[in-house]
Amino acid sequence: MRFDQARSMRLSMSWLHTWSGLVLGWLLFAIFVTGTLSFFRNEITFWMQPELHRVKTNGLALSRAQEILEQEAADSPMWIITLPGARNPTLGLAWRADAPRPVAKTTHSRRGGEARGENYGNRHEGGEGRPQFEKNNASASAAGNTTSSRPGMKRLTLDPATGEALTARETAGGDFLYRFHFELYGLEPGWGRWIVGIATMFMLVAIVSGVIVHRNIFKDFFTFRTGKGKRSWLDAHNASSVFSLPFHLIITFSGLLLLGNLLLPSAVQSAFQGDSRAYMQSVRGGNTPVTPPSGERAPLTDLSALLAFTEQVWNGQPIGSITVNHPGDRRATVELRAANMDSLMGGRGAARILRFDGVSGQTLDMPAVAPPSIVQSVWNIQVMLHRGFFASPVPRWLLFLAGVGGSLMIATGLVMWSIARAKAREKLSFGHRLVDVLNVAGIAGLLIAIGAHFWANRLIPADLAHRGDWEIKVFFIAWSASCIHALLRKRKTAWIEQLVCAGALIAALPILNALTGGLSLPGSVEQGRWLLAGFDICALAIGGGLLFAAHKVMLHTPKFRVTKAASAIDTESKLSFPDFAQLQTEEPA
Amino acid sequence: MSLIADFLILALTLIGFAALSASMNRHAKQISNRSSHIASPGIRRLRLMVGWHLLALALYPAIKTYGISIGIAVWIGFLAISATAIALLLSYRPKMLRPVFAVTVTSSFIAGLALTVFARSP
Amino acid sequence: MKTCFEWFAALERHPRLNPGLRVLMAILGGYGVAWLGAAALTGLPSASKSDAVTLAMMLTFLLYLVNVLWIFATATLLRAALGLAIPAALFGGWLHFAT
Repeated sequence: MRFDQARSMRLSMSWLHTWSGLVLGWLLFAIFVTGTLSFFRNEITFWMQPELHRVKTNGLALSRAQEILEQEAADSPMWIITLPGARNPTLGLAWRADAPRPVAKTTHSRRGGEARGENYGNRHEGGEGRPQFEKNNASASAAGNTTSSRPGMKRLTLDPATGEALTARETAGGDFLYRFHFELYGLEPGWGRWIVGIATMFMLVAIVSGVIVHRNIFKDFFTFRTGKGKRSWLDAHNASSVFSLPFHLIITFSGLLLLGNLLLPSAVQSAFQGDSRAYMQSVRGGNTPVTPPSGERAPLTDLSALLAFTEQVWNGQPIGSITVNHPGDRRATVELRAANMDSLMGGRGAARILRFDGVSGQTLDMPAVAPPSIVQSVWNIQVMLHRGFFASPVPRWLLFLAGVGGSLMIATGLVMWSIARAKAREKLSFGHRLVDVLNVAGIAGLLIAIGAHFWANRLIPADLAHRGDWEIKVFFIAWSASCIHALLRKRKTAWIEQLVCAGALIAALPILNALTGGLSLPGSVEQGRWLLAGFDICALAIGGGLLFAAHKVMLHTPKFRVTKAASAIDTESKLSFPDFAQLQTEEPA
Repeated sequence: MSLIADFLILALTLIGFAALSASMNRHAKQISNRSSHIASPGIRRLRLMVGWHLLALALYPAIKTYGISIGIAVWIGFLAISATAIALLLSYRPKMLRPVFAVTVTSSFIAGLALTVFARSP
Repeated sequence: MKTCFEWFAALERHPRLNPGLRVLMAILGGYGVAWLGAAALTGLPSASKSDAVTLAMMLTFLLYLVNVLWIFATATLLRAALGLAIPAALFGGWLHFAT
C-alpha cells in the first residue's frame, strides 16, 4: 500500500491499525494483563500473605480495636477502621500520624519517593493512598507491625474474632501489578505514566481504526474458522476484540482521562491559571468537609453501639468502614460507610454514609452534596468502570473476563502479524525477527515473570528484610531471562518452551500455596473463602490454558502457500502488507 | 437471589445470540441437520427479531438487580460471554446448539418464574 | 515554482517519507493541536471550573483521535497538514482573543 496512490479509507485504516498496534503492542499487552489482574489486587495481596489465610470471622472485636486505637493513635486526627468483608476477612486499622495535608495527584516527587526505595515493598495501600472512600474496597492488611508504610499513615491488622494483632509477611502484593499497570516501575516519576499514556493513545487509535477496518462486524460476528492458519488467527483477533468492544473503548478512553492532567496540563493551566492545588480541591468539592477540631478533649463514644445502630437502620446492608475524625476531641465525628456502591454515577463518594457525633453518638445530618453534573457523571461512570469500583463480585469478574479478552486481542493481533508474513526458508527481515522475539518475550515472557513473582512470594523467607523488593526483582529477572531466551532460540521452540514454563509456574501455584502455609484450595472452598479459592482456580485455568497452547504450537506444522497475487504484493516493499479485507470476506468452507 | 438474576441475564443473552446466529445463512447451515438448508426469509427475519428483542429483554433483570449504571455494564459483560459461547459452539460443536438452546429456554422460564415469585414475597 | 511542485510531488511519492511524515504530523503536530485544544475548550460553558477541565480533556482526546485518523486517511500530505493547521489556528485564535 502506498500513500501517494489512490486508496480506500479501509486500506489506510488497515495500515494505521497494524502499525499503531504493532509498535507498542508488547507494552500494551503488559499494561492490559497487569490491569486485568489489578481488578483483584486486594485478593492477590491477601493470597500473598498466607499468614492471614486462616483468619476466622466469627465475631467482631471492635471494642478491642477502639482500645488499641485510643492507645496508639490518641493524637491522630483521623482513624479508619476497615471492617472484615468478602474481599478481606481481617480487621484493618489505619490512622494518620500527622496533620492531614492535601493529597495532590500530581505531586511527582512524592510518587517518586514511593515508587522506589525501601518504602515500596513495605507499603501497602488500597489505592493512591488517599484515606477516603476507597477504603471500602481496599485491603487493610499490611506489614504486620506498626512501621510507617507511607508518609502519614500507620496501619495494623487485627484478627476480627480475637482482636489480636496479626503479622504477615511484607509484600507489595497486588499493588505492584497495579502500579506497574499505570506507571511501570523504577522510572523517574511521571515518565512511566507518560509512556503508559502514549501507549494508551496508540491503543485508542488501534481500536478505532480496527473497527473501521472490520467492515462486516455483524455478518462476521460469530465467524470463527478453525484450523485455517491466518484466517483462524484473524477470527480469534476479531472475536476477542468485538465481543468486549464497549469495554475496550471505555477502558482505553478512561485511561486517557485518568492520566489526562499529566498528558494535557494545558487544560488545568488555562482554567485555573496554573493553580493545580485549586483544581484538586475543586475536584473533591463534593466531599464532606471536616470540621476543624475544637482543642477540647472528650471521650469517644462506643463505636460498637454506632455499628449496631447502623446495621439496624441499613437493614443488613454490609458496612465497609468506620472513619473517625478528630477522635478524642469534642467535635469528633464518626462516619460509617456502606461496603457497596449503588451506582457508578456518583463517583467515589457514592456509598451510603451515616454520620454521628463522636462524643454523644447522635446521628448528624449529612451536609447536602450536590448531585454530580452531567460532565462529572460521564467522567465518574467511565472512571469507576476502569477502576472496577464495585463491591459485588459479578461485575468485577465480568470486567476481569473482558480484560482477559482484551489481552487476547492484543496477543492474537501480534502473533497474527508475524504469521501473516511468515515464509518458508526465507531469511527473516530484521523487523520481522524483532517482532517475533518481542512477541515471545512480551507475551509468554510476561506470564513467566508473573508466575515467578508469585513463586518468589512464597519461597523468599517471610522475615527477610525488604522481601517485597526482592519479589519485584524476581519479576524483572524472570522477564529479562525470557527476553534472552527468546533471542537465542528459534521462534517455534521459543514459544513452546516459554509457554510450558509459564503454564507450569502458574498452574502449580495452588500446590505451592498449600505447601507454603496458605489455605489450600479444598480448604478455601470448604470455608467459603471464594476469593481466595478464585485465585487458585484462575491459576489452574490460566496455567492449563497456557500448557494447552504450548501443546497446540508443538503439533502445528506451518503450511506456506505463496500465491501469485501474494508474491506480487511482496515485491513492493520489504514489510509486505496483506490485504485483510480479502481474508475477511471469505465464507467458511 | 442475584444468582438467579445473573443466570437469567446469561440465559437470555445466550438464546438471543443463538437466534441471531441462526438468522444468518452461514450459521444456520452449521446448526441444521441438513447442510444445504436455507431458511426462508420469513423465518430468518423472525429469528433476527427474536434475537434482538431477547438481548434487550436481558437488560431488565440486569438493571433490576444492579441499578442502571452497573446494570448496563453487567449486561454488556454478559453479552460478551454469551457471544463467545455461541461462537465457540458454532465452530466446535454446532450440533450441540439445539439441545443447549432447548435447555436454556426451559431453565430461563423457570428462572424468570422464580424471580417473579420471590420478588413478590415480602 | 515548478521545481517546488516537483519537490513536493517527490516527497509524496517517497514510500518511506510519506508515511513517515504523516506519523510525525500525527504524533507531534497532533499533540500540539491537542495542547491548544485542551486550553481553548475549557472556555466552553460548564457547571464548574473542574467540569470545564474534564469536558475539555474528554473532547480534546476525541479530537486528537479524529485528527490522527484524518492525517492517515486523507489523500495528500498537504491535506494532512491542513488538518493540523486549521484546528491549530482556530484554537490558537480562540485562546488569544477570548482570554
